Amino acid sequence: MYVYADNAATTKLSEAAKMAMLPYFDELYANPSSIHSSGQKIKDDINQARQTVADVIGAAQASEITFTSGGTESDNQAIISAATLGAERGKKHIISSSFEHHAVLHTLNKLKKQGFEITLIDPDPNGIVSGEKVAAEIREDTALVSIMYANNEIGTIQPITEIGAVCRKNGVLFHTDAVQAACHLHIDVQKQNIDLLSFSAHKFHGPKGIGGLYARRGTALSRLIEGGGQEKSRRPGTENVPGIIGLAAAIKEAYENIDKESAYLLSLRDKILNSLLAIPGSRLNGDLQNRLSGNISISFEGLDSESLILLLDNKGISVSNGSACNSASTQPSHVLRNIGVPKEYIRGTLRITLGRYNTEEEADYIIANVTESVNYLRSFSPVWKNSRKEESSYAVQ
Amino acid sequence: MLYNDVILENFLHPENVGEIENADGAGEVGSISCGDVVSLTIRVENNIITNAKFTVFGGAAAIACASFITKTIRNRTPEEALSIASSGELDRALGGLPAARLKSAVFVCEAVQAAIKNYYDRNGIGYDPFDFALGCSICDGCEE
Repeated sequence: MYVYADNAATTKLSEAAKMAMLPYFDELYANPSSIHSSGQKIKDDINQARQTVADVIGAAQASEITFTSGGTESDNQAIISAATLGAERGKKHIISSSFEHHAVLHTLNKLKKQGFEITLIDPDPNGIVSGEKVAAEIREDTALVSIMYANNEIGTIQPITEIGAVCRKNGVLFHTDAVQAACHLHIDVQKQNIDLLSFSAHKFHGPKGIGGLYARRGTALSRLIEGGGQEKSRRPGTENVPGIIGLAAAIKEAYENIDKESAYLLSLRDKILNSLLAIPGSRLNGDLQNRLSGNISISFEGLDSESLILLLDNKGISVSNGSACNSASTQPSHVLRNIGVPKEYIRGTLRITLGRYNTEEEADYIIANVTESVNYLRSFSPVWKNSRKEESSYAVQ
Repeated sequence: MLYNDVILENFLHPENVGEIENADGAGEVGSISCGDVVSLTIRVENNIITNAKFTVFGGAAAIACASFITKTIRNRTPEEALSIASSGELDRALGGLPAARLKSAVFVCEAVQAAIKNYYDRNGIGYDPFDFALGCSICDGCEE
């Protein structure tokens, strides 16, 4: 049996998205910037796709959506644009959190070297950054608040509406990296006072290499690269037409089924979670209630998750420990460290992220194999043996 | 692939897992903060290591290295075992570890040294202390 349960890393392209894309490789291949009818037809299709995205996230106008290469580019452009706007008015302070994706953290680090002052708020142990904590850091010279919608490792959903209200009240631009949230949660950029929002198609069964950035009208975007006038000169370069079409098809399909899919993932997730939390020496990372419905981040005492993941891989199960972007490192991720996962547990962290194609049967297979592999690795772990010894001696006392 | 077939085979089907009861030498190195804890026990008869077993908290590289080294040091004298147990040798024998996992080989070799040193100490056998790693040699310092 093969089970893919690493949907926070990427998802399978949906059939609907694939079929929508296919004609744009060899039949509808004209350049949307050309004035002939073949080109103009593509331009119309792109703008239709833009409208679809705008409708789903509650944008006032389709023109507020800029297509990019994905979440990383969108995060870079959003933050650099807001920093540029702030600097023009002498505001060089940015607030974010310490468990953002590296696309945000590394961009902020670059700005820090350019003279910006960065405040990184630590999430609480449940993996939540509250609106009050954000409000407490806002100053006269704050140019931007950037808080992720949902965390990529532990799946915790941030109080975006609350943070948006705080930012609006203080006249500060608000960016949210919604890469994990888009099409999984209901988003309304107007009601939630979001000025900039990043998303990526391959996290909701669209193609890789395409994403977008919502920028509220009046929030000028700085170009990251120079070139032609595509995307209203915000993102030069001939459009990734099949990607844009696939993104729109995927977003439409996902949004139509958002509640049904979320309920389904929740039932699968809770089944797995309840079984795995019954294993002694296990703990859930991050808040259970404010959490993406497909996310399980669980830590097991007394073992190293790399061994666990490779044993599961050998059984045909694809899961991860933290973010796929950090797999070369042997150190626990900044997310797990910053929410304070105890050192006895932190190295034994497993991330199982479910998607719409996972089945009940697969959930049972995951439960059986994780349980077996955890027990196996612990059977020859000196750390687990010592920890049990200590526990039984406490019990005697 | 992160690991080659030799390493994966040693990881998926490790040999000599466990602990020797009333062992002649025992050593444990590493910490959970470093990422690997390797515990090794040896049986020594007539100056020959007749059995070696390990337990490990760590990744695939640590388990593979420990499995491999326990097979290699069997039927050798402690002196021979010490000369074999180097991370460079292990890395070569296993066909190349990923750079970030080389430290697992170092831990495993230090566990061999610790077990042999323990055997020497128990039996009043003299040795040059400089032949043994003095504490954790991997990083500048950790919380433990």
